[in-house]
Amino acid sequence: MSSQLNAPSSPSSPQGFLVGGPADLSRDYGVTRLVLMPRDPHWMHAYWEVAPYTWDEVEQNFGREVRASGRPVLRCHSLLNGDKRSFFDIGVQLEARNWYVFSSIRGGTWQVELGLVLPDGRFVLLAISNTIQLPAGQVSELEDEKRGLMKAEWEKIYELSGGGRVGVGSLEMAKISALRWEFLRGISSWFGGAPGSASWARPREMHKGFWLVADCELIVYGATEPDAHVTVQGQDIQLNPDGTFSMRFALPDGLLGIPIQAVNRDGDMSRAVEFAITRKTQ
Amino acid sequence: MAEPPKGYLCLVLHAHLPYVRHPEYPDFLEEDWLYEAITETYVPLLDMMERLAADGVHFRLTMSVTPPLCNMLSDDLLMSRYYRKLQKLLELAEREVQRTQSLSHEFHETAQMYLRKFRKAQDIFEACHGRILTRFRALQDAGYLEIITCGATHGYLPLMVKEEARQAQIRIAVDDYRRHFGRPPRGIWLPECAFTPGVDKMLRQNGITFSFLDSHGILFGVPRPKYGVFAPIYSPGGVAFFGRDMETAHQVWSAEQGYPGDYSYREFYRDVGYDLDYTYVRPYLHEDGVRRNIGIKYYKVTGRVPLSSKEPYSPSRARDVAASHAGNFLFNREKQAEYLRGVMGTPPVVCSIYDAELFGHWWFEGPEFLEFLLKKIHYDQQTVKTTTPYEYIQNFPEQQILEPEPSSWGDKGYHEVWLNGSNDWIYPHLHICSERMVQLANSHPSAEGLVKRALNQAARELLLAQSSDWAFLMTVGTARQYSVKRTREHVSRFLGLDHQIRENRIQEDFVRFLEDHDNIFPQVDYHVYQSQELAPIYA
Repeated sequence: MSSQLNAPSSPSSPQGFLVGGPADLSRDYGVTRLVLMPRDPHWMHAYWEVAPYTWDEVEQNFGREVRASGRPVLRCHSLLNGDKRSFFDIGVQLEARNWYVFSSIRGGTWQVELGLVLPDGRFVLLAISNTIQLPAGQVSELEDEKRGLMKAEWEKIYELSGGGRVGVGSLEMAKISALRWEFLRGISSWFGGAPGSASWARPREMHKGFWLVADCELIVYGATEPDAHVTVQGQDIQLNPDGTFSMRFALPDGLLGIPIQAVNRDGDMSRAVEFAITRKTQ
Repeated sequence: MAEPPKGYLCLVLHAHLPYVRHPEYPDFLEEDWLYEAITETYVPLLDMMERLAADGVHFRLTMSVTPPLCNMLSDDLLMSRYYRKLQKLLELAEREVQRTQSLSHEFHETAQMYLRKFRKAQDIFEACHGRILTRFRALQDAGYLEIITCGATHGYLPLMVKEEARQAQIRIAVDDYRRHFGRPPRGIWLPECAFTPGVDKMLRQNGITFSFLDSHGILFGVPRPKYGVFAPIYSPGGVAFFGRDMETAHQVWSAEQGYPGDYSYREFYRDVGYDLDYTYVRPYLHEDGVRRNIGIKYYKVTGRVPLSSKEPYSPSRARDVAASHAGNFLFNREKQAEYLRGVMGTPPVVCSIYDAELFGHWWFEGPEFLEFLLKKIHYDQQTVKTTTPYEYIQNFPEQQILEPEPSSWGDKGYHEVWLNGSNDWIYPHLHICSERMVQLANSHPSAEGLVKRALNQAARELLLAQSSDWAFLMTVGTARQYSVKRTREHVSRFLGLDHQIRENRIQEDFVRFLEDHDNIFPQVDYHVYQSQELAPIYA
């Protein structure tokens, strides 16, 4: 494996490691892998790398056209006691190298396979992930046999425990909970704003009793000639057989630029669309 | 004989700063995080506790002092730099006492207060030869303070894939704690309060008996918790978990009752670094000469008014307000304890958890508030008593067993703060480094000399890259560039070492350079990364 490493070559002088490290880290480690991580009761995150040796193997078994004809998917298995119970497929762009996967059911144990679905329905496995457990996100139905309290009392205790609000904190609340972050932002040579400016408001306080939680994400979609070459944010993407494409983006506060460029098969015509999206949470 | 209390208050302060140490620069801004926290938070808290102990006040406090913080507070370079900073601050405070003589009484009173505080910090620092942890340790040995540990570098455990990587975060923390405090830790603050199944078993294997969860970590547990967050639970792995009380979190921060926003308290954002004549403050700024906070502030919150309309601060008036806030806080705890005791039939424990840096730095009067609160609890009533988790479990060992909900204290309660579009790029690197570290440890059962040094240094680089601080700062957009830089730096340093070790071409000057720069955990032993079946039995 070491021959495939993209580690920095042995430095002639350690000074290269002195400040900042390399401009960027290599995305390729030369290892086929698929890693799954839990985010919350409904969402998990998968990232992957498919190394050349895996492509060689797959092409050997399924033919050279497999990469073009197969539709890349994440096959998401719900497990029960270690056995695969059911699954659903999510179409992905292989080049995206990572995907946030939504599950309509909360919690559960999950394992994901990255693969290609061939026109005849066969599934070509590229990589298989670790197994994770998603949080339940709700009060358990299971009661202790030796329950200590009457129902009404338990509900009161639950409310006093913060039951109506749990898991619905805002980022502001998170910062209040972890005040060191307010502290850290007061001193930073890497942060543009100067403390003392009016925008440095005190943390917004949490409201009582009533709550709202909301977030938004972004879906970009489009279509072009099926044999065109398309890049989104400079990354190559793989079109669906009919020339359509769609991608999901996280949408943090701030400005997000999404340039999309399509070049025809002959490379002599191109079209571009650029989105500039500003999110401002208030 | 006094009646037993109706309920217990478990105050927990989480003290943590990421490991920031830059010997390559004579003057590095982010090191101020530590220096300000020492002067404004750690020393005032220490001073407060020592005074209470000397006065015979019964109190119990729990405080996490994370391994990065312990290592920074024991580092010669950082402590000598701190001492220099403090000298400058004292010099300025003395000049300020002179300058404010001709100004109104409040300014002069405030200037004198700063001078007293800085002198106190100097006295304490000198008396313990620059090792303030020894003073915290003495408070623990005397039974007032329960110091707990944290992940070795505050690594976010639920997003680690290799068990060995989690194990190393805990084991190294436990070893490091022992080095600083002379005994193994009994409790741990899980980094970002983030729990994932299986971690509890690992804690137990490392001798840790209690920890904390955000409220939903217990409320969504299976089966349902009998007493909400007002009694600890045992996890299947055998660790007692205490849930965070939301009411006391709100009481300090809610719009209606939030204490730190009181109009008489000190305003954080009016600082002499901005207010006074540039040539006068220039010697106390960083080398770049940019105006920043210096730490002497003369104004009070005043109200919802622009910074320019703030009115002078009065330390004596603010002190009175802190006392009344402490009274209000205690009154609410008494009512809470009485009610819960009635419903539960057993004394509740209310866990109030705050960042330590809140007290003194952000909420300047915070340490005084705590001092008043602890005195009032001791002298004025018998309904509520302070306790530590360890003590509570000793007194009330029978508790419900439940499987906690995977959770954290971050936004929305789960892992999104540390896993989103702004920071998800770090995990492919962190995971590959962890995997290679385990491979290195397994393939070098008994390295010696330079190879051993390189392996130990690889462990340090991996640990430093894993700090949850970097992912968090990327999310909130603060110090993002610095966080990205630190992540890349430690990952590439790790990969460089990994490559050299595998190729058997280790360059000693490279290793030495890294040992000097990333010197956290001087006694780290790379064997902690060995896979379980290979690892020697842990003593």
